[in-house]
Amino acid sequence: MQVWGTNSGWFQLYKYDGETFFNVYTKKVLAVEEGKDQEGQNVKIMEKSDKATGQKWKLLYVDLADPEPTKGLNKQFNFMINKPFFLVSKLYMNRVAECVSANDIRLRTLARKNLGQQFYFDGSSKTIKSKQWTDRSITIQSDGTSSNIYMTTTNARWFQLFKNQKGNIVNEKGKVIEVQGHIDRENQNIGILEKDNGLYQQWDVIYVDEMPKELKKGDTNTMFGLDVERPFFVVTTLESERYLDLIGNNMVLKTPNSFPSQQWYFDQKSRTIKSMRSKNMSWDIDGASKGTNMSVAATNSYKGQLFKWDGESGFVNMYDGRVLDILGGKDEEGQNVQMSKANQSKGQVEDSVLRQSQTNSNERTEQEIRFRSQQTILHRLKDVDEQSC
Amino acid sequence: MSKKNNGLHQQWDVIYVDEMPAEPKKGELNKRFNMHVDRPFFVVSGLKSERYLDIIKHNLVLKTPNGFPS
Repeated sequence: MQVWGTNSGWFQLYKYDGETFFNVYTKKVLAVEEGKDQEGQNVKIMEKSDKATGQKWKLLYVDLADPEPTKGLNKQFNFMINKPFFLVSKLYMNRVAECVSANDIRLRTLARKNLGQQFYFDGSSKTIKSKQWTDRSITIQSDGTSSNIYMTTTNARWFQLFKNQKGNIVNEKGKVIEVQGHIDRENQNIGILEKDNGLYQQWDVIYVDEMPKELKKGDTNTMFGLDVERPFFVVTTLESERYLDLIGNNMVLKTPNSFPSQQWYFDQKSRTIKSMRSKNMSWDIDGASKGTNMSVAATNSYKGQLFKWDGESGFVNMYDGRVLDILGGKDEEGQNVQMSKANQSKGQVEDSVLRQSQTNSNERTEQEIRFRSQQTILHRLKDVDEQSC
Repeated sequence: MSKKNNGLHQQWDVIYVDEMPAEPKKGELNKRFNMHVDRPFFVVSGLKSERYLDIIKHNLVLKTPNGFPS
């Protein structure tokens, strides 16, 4: 079925019988092709059949239709109508989607007053519009065939329809919005692909008036388990209780010596652990995060620089799950520090310690030493808390 | 002129001019088509989603209500 210039030919004459629209001559009825209830499904004319689905229609005069709601939750799409929101990536830097130059959609650091970072669900078109460019909606490029998304004039086609669904922004045909290349980097492009539910595909829709304030000095970043800008020592639980230190830029174990190279702090802006000795440098896994050696390097917030403090496992890389470890578990001055797979579950260690106590041995099992080499104590520098980072 | 077969195309009403019913006007029901004249309406699918009849290019399709005149 199509619309065409009016000529009142028999093929343009239709009657409504309260249930179907039928051609007054052929008696064939207007029907959804194959009865498929999906967006953009074709509508055709076919023989009337009681068994066929998709032949029934309701004629709803516009003046009798309920007005489109202008606020409240749209349950189908799971967005609040007309309420500006940030689209916050669940990647660890928590950058947000930003419409750049009324076209591209990029990952950028939150700037609360930048309207290019604010979007809203338009209750009428059911699309996600830009607060800055209100005639534009998030769109899958090339009529839905591309893996890129961008902002363009609202047309409400299927490639502009997205639902907010369990942490994913899901298009009408199932693909989800993601950070392209899976790289949590400033200005990284945002696109769309099949869902695999990596963090790069997960988003929080946070309404502008509900956006939490940025953490300040002294606040705890619960995701990273560390207090913001509060200096600390890292102390091994091996017998010597040596401190984590730097020789050059290399990370080693050393006897406490009061140098700032043994002091560290969590920087909220970069989400990295910085050295009090060199505040433009952060913990870094050598080899672009693929190596094992630990050092400090210029802050970049890439994968090899993001660590959380976990009271049980010590310091854990956010991406690969490896933990800070002492080379060979050797409790020696200047011993190198590296990243290793977590080699003990809590249960294994408890079992190991239990067996040790049963044999009443003073010697630690090798297993326990290996585990303890990964264990650290976070000593807050209470006496220098007021010291400025 | 053709042989009679009594199809609609051969049937006529003779209506005197002074008895000719007026064409239904805007807002009035056209009983023959069962629709009001010049009164805009949506066509809502009876399927579960209750999508609307819409136009993409020239084609009639099913679409989520979107506020567009199409």
